[in-house]
Amino acid sequence: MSVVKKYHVKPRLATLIKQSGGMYVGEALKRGQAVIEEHLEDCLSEIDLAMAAMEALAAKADYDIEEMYTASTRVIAACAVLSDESLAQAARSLCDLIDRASETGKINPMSVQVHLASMKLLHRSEAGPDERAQIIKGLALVVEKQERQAQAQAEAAAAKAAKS
Amino acid sequence: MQTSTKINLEKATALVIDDNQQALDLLCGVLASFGLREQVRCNSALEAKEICKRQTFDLILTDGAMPEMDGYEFVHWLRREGGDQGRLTPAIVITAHTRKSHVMKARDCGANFIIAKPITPTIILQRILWVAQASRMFIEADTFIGPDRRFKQLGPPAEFPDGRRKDDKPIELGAAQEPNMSQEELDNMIKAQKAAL
Repeated sequence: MSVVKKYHVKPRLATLIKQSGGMYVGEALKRGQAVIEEHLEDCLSEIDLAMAAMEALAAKADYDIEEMYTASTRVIAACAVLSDESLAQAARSLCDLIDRASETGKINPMSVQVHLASMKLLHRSEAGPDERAQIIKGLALVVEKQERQAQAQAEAAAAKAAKS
Repeated sequence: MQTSTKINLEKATALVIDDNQQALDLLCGVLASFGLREQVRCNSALEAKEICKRQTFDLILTDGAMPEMDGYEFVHWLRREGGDQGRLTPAIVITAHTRKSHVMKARDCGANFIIAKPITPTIILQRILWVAQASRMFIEADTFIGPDRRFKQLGPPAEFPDGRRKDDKPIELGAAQEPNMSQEELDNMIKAQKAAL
């Protein structure tokens, strides 16, 4: 049987953070938000660049789906400057789609296109919260549908193999 | 998190790792705004590994998905081979997306917390404060080294009195279903009895 050791560790951070001086949490959060706002233009450009790269990839007949995944994670990271979460949610949905597809080895190009079109619609558009929520809901259905199809195909293949 | 709480991160040192330069700049900027200015920045976990062999930090923040060595592998290495002090360093993984196949890896790497991108100053600061509270035991076993992953069921958190999940129990207890036991009944339950031989 393996030995499990348990002990309390007081990190140096615990002592340092309580030292006199410093600032109030409220002030720290205000400053943090100001830093996020300073990066607004850079992050918006990053989102534009990543989305342009994704569209260029999707236009190719054959492309590395991992590149699409990486570009989508770039969008998520840069969404830190946006108060609305819908673009990050759409980009995360695309990552989910690619992740599930990499398990099965199959991805429907139309599903990727739907995600890209939705992301375009959500970025720099004036769509209201309800419309955005509907779009995100639709994307979740696209991911679910792909998963169901992949599962059905896997089951059919297994049944075929069992018969032969 | 109380806005009136005072924090001092001026003397703390942090190691921040992300292969995405923009994300790294943004995170370092937010940390600096909290007063945490002593930072070592790395674009790869391999580079961070070399630095950790020479230097210890008060806090490590790393991206999850990186080429060659990802953030989870880095924390896994740190907990096992990071030296006497280094391996106990609070470590937070920040990730844009966790692949289904990486969920177990994330759970088992030994990180104090895993945060989803996009980052917000509130979440980053809250996790730093949680790490500094050091309320969790440090566990060392064959398959896991890191802060205890188990959270006790202490009821809904104060900021969510109705719970965060559909099946969370309400904070108010319901009325008793049966009459309370009498003192005599309670006494009898613990009364020493003679054994019948």
